[in-house]
Amino acid sequence: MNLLLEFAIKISLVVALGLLAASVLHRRSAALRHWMLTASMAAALATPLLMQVAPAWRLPVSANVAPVDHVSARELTSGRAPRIGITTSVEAESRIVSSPTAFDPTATLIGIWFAGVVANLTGLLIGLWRLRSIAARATIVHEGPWVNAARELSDHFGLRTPTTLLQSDRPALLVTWGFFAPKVMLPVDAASWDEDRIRVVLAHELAHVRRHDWIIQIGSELVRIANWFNPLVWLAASRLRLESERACDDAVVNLGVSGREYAEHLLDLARQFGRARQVPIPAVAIVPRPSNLERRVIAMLNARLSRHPVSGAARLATLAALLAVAIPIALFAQNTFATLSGRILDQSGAVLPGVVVVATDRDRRVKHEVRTDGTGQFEIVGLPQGGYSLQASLPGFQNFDEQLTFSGENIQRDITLSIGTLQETISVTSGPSKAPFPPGGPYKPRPANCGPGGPRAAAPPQRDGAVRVGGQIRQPTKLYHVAPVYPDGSSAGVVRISVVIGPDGYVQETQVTNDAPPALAQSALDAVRQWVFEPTLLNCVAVPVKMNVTVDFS
Amino acid sequence: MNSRLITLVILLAATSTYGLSAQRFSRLSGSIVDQSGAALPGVTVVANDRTRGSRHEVSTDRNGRFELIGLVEGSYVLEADLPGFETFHENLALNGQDLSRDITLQIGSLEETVTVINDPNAAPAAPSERYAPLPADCGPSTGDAGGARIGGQIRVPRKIRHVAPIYPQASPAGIVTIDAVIGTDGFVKEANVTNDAPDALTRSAINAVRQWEFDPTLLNCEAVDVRMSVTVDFR
Repeated sequence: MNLLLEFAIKISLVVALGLLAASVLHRRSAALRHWMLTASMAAALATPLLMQVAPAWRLPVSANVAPVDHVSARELTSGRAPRIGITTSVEAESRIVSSPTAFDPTATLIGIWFAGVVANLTGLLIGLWRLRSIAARATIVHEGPWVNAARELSDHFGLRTPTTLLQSDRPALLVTWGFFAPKVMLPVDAASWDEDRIRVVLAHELAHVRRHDWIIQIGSELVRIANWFNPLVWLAASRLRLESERACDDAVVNLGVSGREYAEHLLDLARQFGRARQVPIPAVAIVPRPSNLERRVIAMLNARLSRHPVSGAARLATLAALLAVAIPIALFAQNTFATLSGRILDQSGAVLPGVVVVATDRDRRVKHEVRTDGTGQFEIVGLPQGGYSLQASLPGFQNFDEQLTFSGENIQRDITLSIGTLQETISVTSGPSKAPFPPGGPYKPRPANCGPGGPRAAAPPQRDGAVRVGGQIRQPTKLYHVAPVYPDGSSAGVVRISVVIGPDGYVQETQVTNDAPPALAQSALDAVRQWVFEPTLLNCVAVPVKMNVTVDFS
Repeated sequence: MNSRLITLVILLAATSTYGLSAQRFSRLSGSIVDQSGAALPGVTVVANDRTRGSRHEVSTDRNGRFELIGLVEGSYVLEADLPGFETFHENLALNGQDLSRDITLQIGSLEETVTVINDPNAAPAAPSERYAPLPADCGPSTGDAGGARIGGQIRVPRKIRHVAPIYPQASPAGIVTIDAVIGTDGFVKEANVTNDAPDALTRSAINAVRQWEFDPTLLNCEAVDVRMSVTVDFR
């Protein structure tokens, strides 16, 4: 969102600069103003490209999210463990549960922009196609006063490629287009025009050809289409069109036609063509649009205006001045800062206060750290663009770790922390087998001590709109332990078992996770399956918990 | 209507929206040097946002420079911390301005606690023998990195002569705290009692502490003064 804005603002600034220059130069020649506007349009077109190469520019708009492996482990020794020679600890392991942002305005905006571009581009393409089909039906003029005048004027303007004159079947169509093979389309009654008008009209059209006005106008149309939402660009595009016509008007006057005479021709043409229905055609034309007629006529009648074409030196100087301002604008990268916010929950959906949330800026090596408040909310403001790793940690829970990329967009992340994993290591030496500890059993678990009124009573009273605060873990304690027996005649080895302790405290699932000798694995499994734990309580509700057991037969 | 005027208005509007879209974020940058003026790399610089309770942490680079950007308006505590040096604290109010702070970290102070037991039967403790001072062995210079002189090499002083205070006869128990300065020659330059202790105890404690000798404290191979706080517990 911020990037789109930045993009639009930069182009606005560059285009506004061209418009401003055109306004300041209102006493200079139209050709100069046209050149300024062309340069500013070109700079606007180049702005996205310049922004691409600038180091501060970072691409796409939406955040990439890639999960990563867990990093660190957290020790939580259970009280009873040392007595039976077992270290029980909770190991962190990452699990990512993040909810996507509900509504992404950026995607919608891009969609709207794209739709606008398609609509405008279609308009332009239809116009070009219409021009082509009219030209296909038109006949080429090979002789007559038009051809003679065209030959003479082409020599005068120094045009190398001959301009094709086409005679259309339409009453009000007088346009010029084409870059490599320029064409002038004449209206149906062109043959009956008097010589003065033929000369004036052709001089104007050939001036367009000489000045490459058509291709410049198509380029400016493309800029306008890409920035269709930007009124400044529309303003600049129409001003560019006006200045190109005025520059050609000036070129005709420079041939020796008096301003008054030329203004009369303009008014006549406007009167004659105004009656006919105007079709939008992407081409340049002498015939004034109603909105421009007055300005062009007044400009013709004003004898004090400069009508000089732009000299090469003036072109270079103005271009250099404009680019000197436009390029820094395009390259200027404002640091956009994003906000990362969200909520942290345990697996029961209760919020977790006091969770340390750290966003580490991997490029700048800056750590931004904050704790969740009483409602489990966190907010980190002012994150510059770049790659981040986001971590959330709370004792007893698995660490959360996620890679994020910020590109100026705000990111909302709701994170669920899973309960940690138990870790146990047992050493078994060959020798007489040990009795189960404690003898007897199985044992009754301690009551879930969550307050006088039973498990749920300790939960804070629910207020309207209040959040349920979680994070209360009762560590499981082993009630019944059976030591594995060293199998006779077996070699030493290590067995790793992944265990799930059910909510009832009994071992639910066991799985050997390494490649251990079968005799050792069987002995270890036989022992582990008999173990009984107090259930692990999360917010006074028994939950299953994972446990990794390492049995070292030595 | 004058088209120039329209253009100007539009231009102004465009630039002002540009200004509005920029939020007020501060940039805090600077360099950290030790008291000899040499750059300190690896200093942990923390901006604690007291308004929001968040902290922003960065380490100084090889040239002792740090930069934190995107600091929102608010009141901050800036901290710079490096082991061996005293922690630097400063309160800052940020409201979108860019701040530059060049911080000098002072070398840390020594702390020593001596217990003197009132035992009339024990022989008075003799002064320890004097160890030979360590040579100022700095090894080959690590060289400059990018022109900045890298500092932060501290050789911690070692006591080479210790004199135990003597328990004054018939004096009640008490604690004497002394603020001392070890000079560049390793001798105790100044020793001032900082608490309200009985005269007999302070005399005994000062008398002993003034006779202590140390290897000079070296900062980047140059001897510097270092502060020492001594607590003598007579009981």
